[in-house]
Amino acid sequence: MPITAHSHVRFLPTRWSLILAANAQTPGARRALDDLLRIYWFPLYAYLRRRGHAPDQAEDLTQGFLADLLARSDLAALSPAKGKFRSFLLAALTHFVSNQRDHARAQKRGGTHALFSLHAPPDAESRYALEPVDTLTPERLFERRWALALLDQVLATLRARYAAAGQSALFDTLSPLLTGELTQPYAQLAPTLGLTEPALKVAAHRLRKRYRDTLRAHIAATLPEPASPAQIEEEITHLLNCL
Amino acid sequence: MPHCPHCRAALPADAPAGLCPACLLRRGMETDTLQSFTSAWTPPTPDQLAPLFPELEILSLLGRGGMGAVYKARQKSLDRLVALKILPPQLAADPAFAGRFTAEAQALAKLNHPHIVAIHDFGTKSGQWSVVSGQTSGQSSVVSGQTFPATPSAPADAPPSLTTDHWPLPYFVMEFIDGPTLRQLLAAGPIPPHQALAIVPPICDALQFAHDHGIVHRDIKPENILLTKTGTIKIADFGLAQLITQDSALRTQHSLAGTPGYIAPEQLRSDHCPPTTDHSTDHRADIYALGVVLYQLLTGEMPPDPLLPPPQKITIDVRLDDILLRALDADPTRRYQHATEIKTAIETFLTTPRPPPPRGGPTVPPPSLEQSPPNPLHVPALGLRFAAGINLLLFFLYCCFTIFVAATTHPMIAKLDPRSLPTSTHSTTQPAYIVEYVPRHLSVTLLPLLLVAILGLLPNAFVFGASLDLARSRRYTRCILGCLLAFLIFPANILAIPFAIWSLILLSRPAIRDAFDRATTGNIPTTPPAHAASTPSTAPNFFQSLLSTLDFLSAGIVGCLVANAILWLTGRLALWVPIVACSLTDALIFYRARKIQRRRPLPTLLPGFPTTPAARRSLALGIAAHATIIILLALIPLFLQPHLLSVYAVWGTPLPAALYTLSRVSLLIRTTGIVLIPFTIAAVAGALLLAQILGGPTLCRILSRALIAIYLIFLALSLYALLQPLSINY
Repeated sequence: MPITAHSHVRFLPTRWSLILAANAQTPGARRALDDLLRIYWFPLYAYLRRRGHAPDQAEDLTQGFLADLLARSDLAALSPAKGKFRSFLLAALTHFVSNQRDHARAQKRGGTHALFSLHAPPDAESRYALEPVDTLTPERLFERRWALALLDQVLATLRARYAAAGQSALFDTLSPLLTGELTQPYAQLAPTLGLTEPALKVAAHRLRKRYRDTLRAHIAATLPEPASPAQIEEEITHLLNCL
Repeated sequence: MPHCPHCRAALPADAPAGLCPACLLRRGMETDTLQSFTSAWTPPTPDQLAPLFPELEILSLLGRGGMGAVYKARQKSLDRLVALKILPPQLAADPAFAGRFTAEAQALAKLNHPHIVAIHDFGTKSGQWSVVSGQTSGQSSVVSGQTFPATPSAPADAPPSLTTDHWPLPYFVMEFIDGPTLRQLLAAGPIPPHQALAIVPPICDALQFAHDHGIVHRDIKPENILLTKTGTIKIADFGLAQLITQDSALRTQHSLAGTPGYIAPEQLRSDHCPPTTDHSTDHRADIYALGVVLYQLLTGEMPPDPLLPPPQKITIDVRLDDILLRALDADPTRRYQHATEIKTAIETFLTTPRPPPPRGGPTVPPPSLEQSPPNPLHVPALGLRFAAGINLLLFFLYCCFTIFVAATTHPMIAKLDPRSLPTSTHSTTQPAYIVEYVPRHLSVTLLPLLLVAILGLLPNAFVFGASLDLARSRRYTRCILGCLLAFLIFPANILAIPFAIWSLILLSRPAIRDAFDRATTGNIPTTPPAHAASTPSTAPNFFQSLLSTLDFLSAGIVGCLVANAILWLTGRLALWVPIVACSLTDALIFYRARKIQRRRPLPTLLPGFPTTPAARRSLALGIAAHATIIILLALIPLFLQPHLLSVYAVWGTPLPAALYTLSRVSLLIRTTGIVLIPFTIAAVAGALLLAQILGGPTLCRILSRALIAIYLIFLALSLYALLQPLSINY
């Protein structure tokens, strides 16, 4: 089954500025925001860890922050047109953590609050342990993790698109093309996928194009409206520098 | 630690899907060049370069791309600004590079052309220079691109201990262009078509010049096309793509020179072919890329898919689509074979209203279907013409027959038989007899004949004319009308209907319609770009032009409406008012039309307003006919109405005769309901004039004639009504 334009639409993220413009109150907008936050859970967690929070605390804070964000009713007042989602999340998290510190002090005098699991991946800490031990600042680490999370999500989305069309094998074979060349020539690969060599080349070309489109769409989703190609390039350059 | 096979950087442990994150991000850039391995390399800062180039004062880093980095510099000896381009030092790892670099640079230096960025100097610097790392990747102060092996397939786990600061640094000193790139222009907003078309011919010149010298650019894209402050086009980076991808170490990895989107399909197809068998990409790849640039300039977008031309978008003119289609043809043999052909095609498009089909190379088959010699409309047109011809012949015979019968059998006409006269008080030789009876009997016999002839001949003649247009693919509306009329032309419609349906089906096809558009647009002279730039000054005249358009519309209608209102209010005495008013307003219209005809340069009144002299002449003629016919309408009854003449003869003075005529005509009009006709005619005329003004020259010509035909019918009806016997006592 070919991948149609319709399925393409479904796999694209909703722009965060649009979500906020809908005041995040409608179920659809809330779900879209939830999806968007899910992608960037780990960068937030890594940031808090690098800030010196213990694993449990960092997880609690991240979850609390996201729950708080989702429950807020004044999101529209944040004027998303002025900022990037990345900067917004980082600023909001910093703000939340400092508030939470005051709050926690108050709660020592009798208050309790229930924590609930929200988006926490089970391997968060083991992933964090992989971070190179170097002198990256928490902000820098956040942005690096952000870039990686974005790429993870783009690849997962793209893979899901191909899987939806029953072309997982094709995607897995061709995905190395996204960063280089294939180890085997097309002529050898084509029969294993049941394709002709020209068809495989066309598929490779399409994969590159779809990947680029998906990546740019995901980046555009985190940028203020309207995201021009130049802004997207700028963001890519920024993320490149963060790696 | 594993390394990225592409940029040689160490892969982080949690790289997404095991792929290099930096390369993944770079792939998302629009300006990503396939051999972007070089972008893993961080260009040195001006300060770092300064010791290597004592003869230059390096001012700033202008930009970097897949091909290296460009600095703005001042040449101290000549005190001029130059651009210093340094190529990625990894290139120099190939021992064969030096020789090829020299040969290529000398070839590039020969490209002395006003539209090619000139090369002042080139060379290789091998001094010590420190490198700033873009990414530490665990080990500090080492460039991520350091581990560049000679054989790319070898795993990079054990990199040779070679650092970039030992490698020589290839560089070019080039002409400094102080202006934006085409990419920056495109980003700033849409480029007007005439400007876009003015940009392309110099590029063609430059490309042709280079191709003649055996140099293919291989990476034509908006980033490489610069505009000086005076608006001169300059192409940069000639041959660099080829120079870099010929690097034997890179060949298998990066066999594609160019940028995605601008790469010709045959280059994609020849992917993985060994270099020795790679004959399929040549200078025509540049022509493809130029086609992409032109498409982008005209539409602001990339062509839908480089593998799936043709462009589906109607851009500005179908002829431009032809140019794009041919430049973007997937098959290089069907593409323009030389850059100058594109230039010729564009210039032909700009200068001639209806160019001969832009077929440059004699060996190239025509790419588009609708221009090929067999016109699919030819056969149905022939059928329609045959049917209409038969009908015309039949009607002619019928008319002849009727006249013959009338002439031979009707006593009044045949013999002017006095016995048939109602009163035998006059002799047949007396003038009163002729005056009184001949017209009456003519009206009985010939007027119906005239009506039949008009109603029968006109549609047939129209169908006949439309079939001629059909065969020549012009006047689309007229062809449609002709096909519809063909359903009605009894008796030949039995023959004509199948052909009419056939034609209508063909006419509904977009390709056929395009062919018509091409023929029609050819009628309107294309405004040359220089002139188009000055046309915005006519924009403030919109209301003025709207007013003058309304004149046309309103004069006829208002004149008739007012006159008829007066007629109804005052009765018979004002009968002459509508006719005079109509004539006056028509004269006004005629005057306006002539005035427009004389004015130069012609303002574009409304979209589609007939701007060609022929169209305006026919508009003026139509209106003149309108006036003439109305005047005749007023005068003819005086001569054809025998009673009026007899009264005139009896009374002998003009005034009572006029009064009598007034009362007589007024009564006639009121009794026959003929007063509605001016209203109808005025409305129809208004609608026709509107269509005339909005529908362009073809419709204008058709409707001018239709207007005349309608007034002829009106005349006939009025005459018929006037000549009907009435029981009036006078």
